[in-house]
This record gives sequence, structure tokens and C-alpha cells, in this order.
Amino acid sequence: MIHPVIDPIRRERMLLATAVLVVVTGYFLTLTAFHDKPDTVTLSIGAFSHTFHRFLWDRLLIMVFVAAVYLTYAGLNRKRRHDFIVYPVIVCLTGLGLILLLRLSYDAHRLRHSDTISALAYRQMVWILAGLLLFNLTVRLTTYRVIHLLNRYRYTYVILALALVAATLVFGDAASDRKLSIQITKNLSIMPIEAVKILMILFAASFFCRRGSVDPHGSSRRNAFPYLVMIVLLLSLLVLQKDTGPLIIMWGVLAAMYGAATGRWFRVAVAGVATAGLAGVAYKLNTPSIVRTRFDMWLNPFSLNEQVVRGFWAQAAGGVFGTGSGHGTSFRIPEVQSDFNFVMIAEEFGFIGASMTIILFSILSLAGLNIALRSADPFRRILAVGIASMFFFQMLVIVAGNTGILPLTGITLPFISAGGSSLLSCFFLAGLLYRISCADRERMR
Amino acid sequence: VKVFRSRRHSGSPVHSPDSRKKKRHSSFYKDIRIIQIVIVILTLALTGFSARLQFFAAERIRNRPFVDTQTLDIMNRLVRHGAIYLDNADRIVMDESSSALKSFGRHRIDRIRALLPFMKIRHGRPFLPESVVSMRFTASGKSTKPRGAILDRHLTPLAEGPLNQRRYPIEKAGYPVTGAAHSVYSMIGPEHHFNAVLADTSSADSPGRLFYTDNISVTDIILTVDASLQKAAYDAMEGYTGAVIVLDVLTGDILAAVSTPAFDPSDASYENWSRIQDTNLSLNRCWERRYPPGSTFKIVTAAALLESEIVDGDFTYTCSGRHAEAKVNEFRRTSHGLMNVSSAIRVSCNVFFCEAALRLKSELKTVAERMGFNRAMTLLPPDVPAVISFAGGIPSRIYELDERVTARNPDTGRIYFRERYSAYTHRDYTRNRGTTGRTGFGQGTVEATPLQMALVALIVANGGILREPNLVAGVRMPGDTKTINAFDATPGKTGFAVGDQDEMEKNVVYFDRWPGQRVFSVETAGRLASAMESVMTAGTGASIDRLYHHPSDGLTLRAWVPWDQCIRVAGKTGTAEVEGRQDHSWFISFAPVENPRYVVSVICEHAGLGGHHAGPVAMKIYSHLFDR
Repeated sequence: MIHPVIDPIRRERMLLATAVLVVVTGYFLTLTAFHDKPDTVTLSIGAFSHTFHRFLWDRLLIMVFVAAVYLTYAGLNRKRRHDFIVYPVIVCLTGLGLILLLRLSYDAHRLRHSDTISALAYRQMVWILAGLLLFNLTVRLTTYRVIHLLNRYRYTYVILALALVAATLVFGDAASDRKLSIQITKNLSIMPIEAVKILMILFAASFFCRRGSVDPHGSSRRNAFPYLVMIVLLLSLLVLQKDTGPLIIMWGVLAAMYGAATGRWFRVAVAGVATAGLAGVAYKLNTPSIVRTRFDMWLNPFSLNEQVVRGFWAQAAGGVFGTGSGHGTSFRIPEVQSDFNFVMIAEEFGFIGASMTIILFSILSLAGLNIALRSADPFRRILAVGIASMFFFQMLVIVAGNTGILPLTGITLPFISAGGSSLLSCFFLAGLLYRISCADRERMR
Repeated sequence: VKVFRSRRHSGSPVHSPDSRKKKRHSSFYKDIRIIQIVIVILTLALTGFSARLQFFAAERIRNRPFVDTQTLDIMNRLVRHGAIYLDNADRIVMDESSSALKSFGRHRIDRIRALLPFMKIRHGRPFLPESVVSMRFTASGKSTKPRGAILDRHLTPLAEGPLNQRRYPIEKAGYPVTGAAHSVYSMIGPEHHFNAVLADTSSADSPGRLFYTDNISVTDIILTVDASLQKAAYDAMEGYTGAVIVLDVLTGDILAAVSTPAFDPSDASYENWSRIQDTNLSLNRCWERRYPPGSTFKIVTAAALLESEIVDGDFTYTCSGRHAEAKVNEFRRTSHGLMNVSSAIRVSCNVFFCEAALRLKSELKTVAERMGFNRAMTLLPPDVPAVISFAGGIPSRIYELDERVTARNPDTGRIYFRERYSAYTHRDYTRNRGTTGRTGFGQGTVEATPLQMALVALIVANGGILREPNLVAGVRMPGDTKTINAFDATPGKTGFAVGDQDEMEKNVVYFDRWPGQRVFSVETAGRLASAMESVMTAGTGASIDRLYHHPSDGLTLRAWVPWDQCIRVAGKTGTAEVEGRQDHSWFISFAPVENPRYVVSVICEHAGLGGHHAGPVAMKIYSHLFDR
């Protein structure tokens, strides 16, 4: 394929300026919607706790964001042929998430008078700063040697992932009846599942680096049996944990990586049918019970699932152009800050905003696949496919859940939802993607 | 580097033939293209579904007859602000110009407007039939929000469990002190007033959960009532419509408050809750309904007489069966002869107290107000946290009904009656001697709740000292939380401990009671108490069964047994005349006389003579109290 000759640095600068402009405009429009602002807000993460004067800091927040975005950008070790789409897109998505959480924190404060909720935007800002730093470091530090080092391990990743899931099962913080997070301190808990996702993508990439069709000089054995065993092992552990969201995402990502690496799409389709059949059996047998609960809620949302129905109402209220930032009522949906961000977008920015968000994600994924095409060696290629498909799958599952197409599973919308673990892992993967796009001289061999 | 090399060696050999590269590309391109096509298709599909929800399904979703808690909440607020009201033709109307509408979104108001034909307003709260409310909150998972229990003084539950699955062990008997709660239909009584504490929403500070969590910390409320006594009092009222109040003389604690017939709070079905519209069932007669107090009010008049500096308390008056000036007839036109305060109480002489009220004039109102009239009771101890706000009871009133004036609500434009009651003027007494005279024996311009009349007996029993009636003893904090949220109180602090000391857990906080307040002198109280005892020995209450200590059977109820072998009960019967219907039967009392511990006040609506109906009910309650 012939690539048009473009100057990626100029393009990226232009796109980044557009993204930042959109975010800043949206931010100040949101601020105008709230006249009765709470005076102070207390932010506490881990042992850190500080009380801010809100009036001043809400204006400073966006300046800090813009400064961090440009500092990160300046610090990137840019190559001539790097990708110019990824960074502006993630900046735009992250900024959108920040706007939503700022907007949410006002209403949540009014409704709940809870410090943690009203400091959501500040918390998110801290994680965004950490994420941008991680992005920068990932881009700068994952040289070909590091990539090569990552390629050395295969089953170690699976063992680590299994250990993490098991640790969550044992030490997990039973916030609901499921154990999904590990409490570090009072104000800080981590979601190990995010690390598990990264580990499994690395495993698949290093596995297919040797066994897939991507490298004709690799092993002649194309037997993917160990791959299947590992995946089944991990997924069954996730079934034990009753964590359906990551299960679906991981299934999709690993299937896409398998298909891309081996070209056996028929097998992927067969596996899909088999999985659907298994889900049907689980529904019939009512084990695990969460399958039946979720499916029933999906089939009869109006009588069983208040959360999703409120989401429907909110989206229906949005219309074409939306109610405007700060004028919606979706802040009343339970867990809106982590599971229903798309509903907030659809209500306050309307169909325009919602479809633009979906399209931004697909642009990100398509750009990721283009990076995969352009990259030189099999490991990075498969890695890029995995990362790109993961962003898309995660968006697909949660958006489909919010719009009632699929059963709702509580997972985050990448870059937008509140949550440190999710943000950090997304920025790390985006950093890897960006680095892969930098067509450096060094090859794996 | 060495490691890489060896890996490289075992991996693939050095390559670069162009043909192979081309082949590799073609295969990989194909696979990537497949993924890209899938992504584009899925993006289009997702956008399409989003559009379907936002354009085509929008109207259908909005118009669906479905009510969530938030809509109900907004309805509540609109009714409270008068933006939704009953017009003169009893239709429910929304006031489009009301400023309250502006706080909510247009589509939400549209939905509420569509629900108006289904709506009913009862007790100032919106009420919807189940066909409209399709939400089921009993589904497993997040919907079952925990709710604090309501406990009695011995920490046995009167109400426990989450909404709609809430258990009320003594069912209807506890209705006045627990109220009833349903997540959709309504919340009434203490369940409604204590909701901020029971359904504690202020804690749950975990970042992942915004509005409700599974391990939310809830606070239990401890009432002063005794569950078994409550049950016994309800059983004693069988067959009567009315109310019972049992008070602890020393503390003012409400030991039992029963209203019959009562709403059954333990049944969460629509059939049951549709009965809440029946005022007869849902009314709490204990402190939300005023009755003419009848002869029981003579205790107040007598106290005013004995305390008065203008009128001689020892004055006598000859009852001829009729007070000519006030045109008041004696009950069955009996002539009692020469009467003083004590004998007039004993035989319940209307003419004597008619004359007394005419002499006392406005002093009667002053003393009555000191005893609790014209004032709403909070039913709460003094130091309760601000989150508990209990509008406990309506004030008992002594006023001129002639002064009812009409007024117009400036917001809604509706006309309503406002009762304006000012101090009696001299002209009122001279012009309207009949009304004034009747007030002296509880028939004129005076109305009292059963709680208020219990308070009158309590003051006499307590030697002239008033203790504020009190329903809340304390709270039980959530055991596992380190930070106490709603209250700025320390677990383990004990105020006035009720119940068994062993049962006091470390998370229980008891509140201090109100200090006593002297209303009249000990001498007055002593004379009134002995007069009330003579009512039971030789007066209108003499025929009531007495609490007889039988040598072998223990405590039994028996008529006309020697007084010195009985538990001495002091009481006052009342027979309040009702226009065109059977009289209300009243009885207020305390026991034992030598060392008063309990006050019992009973009213049986439209039952007849006080000594025939309310008195025996009170005696059954006493036998339960002293039998333990």
C-alpha cells in the first residue's frame, strides 16, 4: 500500500489544537451552567487529603489539563513517521471525561453532600496527570530492547494474570456481593482486572509472534491448543469471579488477535457460536446466577432494572442536540460516573455528541490497526491489533449495554469513565500503540 | 544481548526475500481488513441504535406509564408547594404558573402531567395505583436498600427490614408509633418523619457508588414504647374505635399509643395500600385527632379554680340540675345539691364547673395553656440531632369558634379557613355565657387529643409537675462503621437509660429527657388526686371493675370489692356529647395513687358513658401493667 506523503508532526499539532479547543470550550460552557457552586471541596486519595476553594480551582483545572497535555506532547520522543491521530483522540476523550465528571460533581454534591463525589473531577485530574506521565514514559522508554524483553515471556503473563485474579478473589474488597477491587488504603483501591487485560494482550502477542501466520519463518507448528487452554483457564476463573464485563471484552480481543494472527476466521465464528451456546446453558441452569439476572434485566428493563431505564430516559431526553452540558438529569443514575458516561454524553450533547464519541473510538481503533499494518515485526503488529481491538470492544460493550442492545455489564468507557486503574491502563496501552507507530530504525531482528 | 541472540537463533532465521514479504503482507492485510470492516459496521450499527433510542423510541419511552422514585419525589414536592392541588370539583390540577415547576425538566413535568388522571392526594402526598407503577423494587441486587429498624424500649423490633419487605411484628397494634412505609405509595407517621435516619443516605462514602450501596450503614431508632403493652392495649380496645395512651409518670415516656382501627403496615400489596385513602384506617387518633374532652376537662377547670387568686377555690355552689344563666342542663337533669370542687369532680357536676368557668373567665385558658393546650407537642427529647424532625401531633385547642375567618393563599389563589384564636375578651364572656360555661366542663370551645388528656392526668399524678411526652428514647448506631455520620454523638454515651442495663450495647445512645416544669402547686395536685380517687371509690367510676388482689388467683378484675384490697386507681370519666350521634366515652387515670407510675388515657368514639366503655378498657391495660 502506498502511503500519502504527509507531515505527521504538523498534522498532529493541528489536530491536538482542535481537540484542546473543543475541550476548553466545553469546559467553560459547563461551568456557566452552575451558578450555585459549592464553596469548598475535599480531595483525598490514599493518605493525601486537601480542601480546595472550588471557585478558583475549577478554572485552574482546565489550565492544568491543557498544560499537562502540551507538556506531555513536548516530551514525546517523536519519530518522523509516527501516528498523528492517537494522541489528539485520547486527549479529546480524556477532556470529555473530565468535563462530564466536573458537571457531575456539582449535581452530586447538591444531591448527596459527599466529599468523595464532589471531588470526582479533582480525583480524575490527578489520575489524568499520572496517566499522561505514564503515556510519556511508555512512549519514551519502550525501546526495541524493552519490546524484545516483553516478547521473551509468554506463559509468565498468564501465570501473573491468574495470580492477580486469584488474589482478587481472596483479598478482594466485597463492595457488592462480588469481589472486584483490592482496597489499598481508605481512599484508594485498585482494579487488578485492568492489569490482567494488559497481561493477556501481551501473552497473545508473544504467543502468535511464534505460532501465527504473521511470521512465516516462525515455528511450523500452527497448533493454537496451548492458547486455547490458557484462555479457557483465565475465562473460567473470571466466571468464578462473576465478572462478566472483562470476560466478554477479553473474549473479543483474544478472538480478534487469533483471527488476525492465523487468519482462521471460521474458527473464531465457531467459537463465538459455542460461547453463545454456553451462555444459553448457563442461563437455563442458572449457574452462575448473574447470567440469568443480567439477561432478565436486559429483556425486561422496565420492570427489573431501574438503572438502565433511567439511562433510557436520559438518552431519550437528549434528542439531536442534547440538553446542554449541566442541564441533564442523568446524574441521578446510580454509578453514572463509571458505568453510564455514555448516557450523560447522549443526554447533554445529544445524538451529535454520542455518535461523535462512538466515531472517535472507532477512529482510534482504525488508526491502531493502521499502525499494526505499518509496523515491521510480528510481535508489535499483533500487539497493536490487540490494543486497538480492546479500545473498541470495551466501548462497544458498555455503549451497547447503555443503549439496551446487550445486557449491561459494569465496565468503564476508556479514557472517559472515572477510575484510576482504568485510566492508567488505557494510557499505558495507548503509549505502547504510539511507540509502535514510531517507525524506528531498530528492528526486532 | 546474548539472550536476544540465542532467542533470535532459535526463532527465525535472517530473512528478506521480497516474495515472502509480499505473501506475508497479503495475508496479514486481509486479516486486518476484516477487523477494520467489522469495526466500521459495528460503529454504524451502534450509532444507528443510539439514534433509534434518541429519535424513534424517545416518545414511546417518555409516554410509558411508568413511575420511578424520582418522579414520585418530584410529585411530592409539587404537591407540597401547592403546584398540584385538588380544585373545588375534587379534580387534581397542576398550576402551570407555579414557580415550583421551573426547577424540573420539561419532559419530566410532561410525564407528571400525563399521570395526573391516575393520581390521588391523601395526607398531602401523591398516591398512584399499581397499574401505573410498574417498578418492582423487590428484585434482587441493588434495589433492596437496607433500612434501619424501629425498636421498642427493650430493643425488640417494631419494624425491621428493607422497604416493601418490612416486617412489623405487632402489625396493626404498632401503627401509631411505627407508621407505615412503602417505597412507591407513601410513607406515613414516624417512618416518614424518621426517614432521614432510617434510610441513611448521607454516609456510604465509597467512590464507586453514588447513590446506594449494599453495605450502607443504617441507624436504628429506639422508641420509648413497650411492644407487649402496645399489643395488650390494642387487644383491650377490641370492638371500639378510638385511642389509648399510656405514659410513664416520672419521665413522660409514651409506653403505648394505640389507635383503632389501624392500617396494617406489614402488608406491602396494592390492595392493602389502597385502603390508606380511608381516613378511618390511616388516622393516628392518639395525637392527630381532636375530640371534645367532656367531663375529663373538669380536672383542668378545677386546677384553675384552686390556683386562682381572684376566685376562691373553696367556694360552694348549689346544683339544682340547671344553670339558668348559661342555659346549661345537668346530665339527666339530676340536682346534686351543695357542691365544692372535690364533690363536683366526684359526681361530675356540670353546673358547678359551668359556674366556675364563668367566674374564672380567661384564667381558665391561661391554666389550660400551661398544661399543654394550644401548643404542638414535639414528642422528642431535647437533645436529638437536627436530622430527626418529628411533627408530633396537632395542638389541643381552647378558643372561640366564632372567630373563624377566611383567607386566600397568595400562591394558589385558593380560599381556605384559618382559625384565629385570640385571648378571650371581657365582652366575649358577657355576651356568650353559654359557650364559656360549657367550656368549663369540656363541651364548649375546647378540643383535646387523647395525648393531651393523658398529660392532664400526668400533671396531677406528678404533684403538679409537667413532663413533656416523649416518643424517642435513643438511637442505635451502625456497629461496623468507625465514623458516625448523621449524629455528632459518641457511642456509649448514656443519658437517661431505659430498659435493662445488660441489654445496652455499646452502640446505643440514649437521649436525656426534658426537665420537669411546675404547672401548679403540690397542694392543688393532692386535692385533685384525692378527688380523682373518690371518683373511683364512690363517684361516677365506682361501678368500674377494680384491680383486686385475690388471695389465690392473683390480680383479677372484680366489681365492688373493698377498696383497700385493690390497686388504687385515680381516674375521671368523661362523656362528651356529639351533635346528633352517640357520646364519646373518655377515661383518664393514673395508678397507683400512693406512688403514681402509669397514666392511662382512653377514648372510645361514639361508645356512650365514660364509666361503661373507656373505664373498663383502661382497667384491662392496668391489669396487664401490674400483672408483671
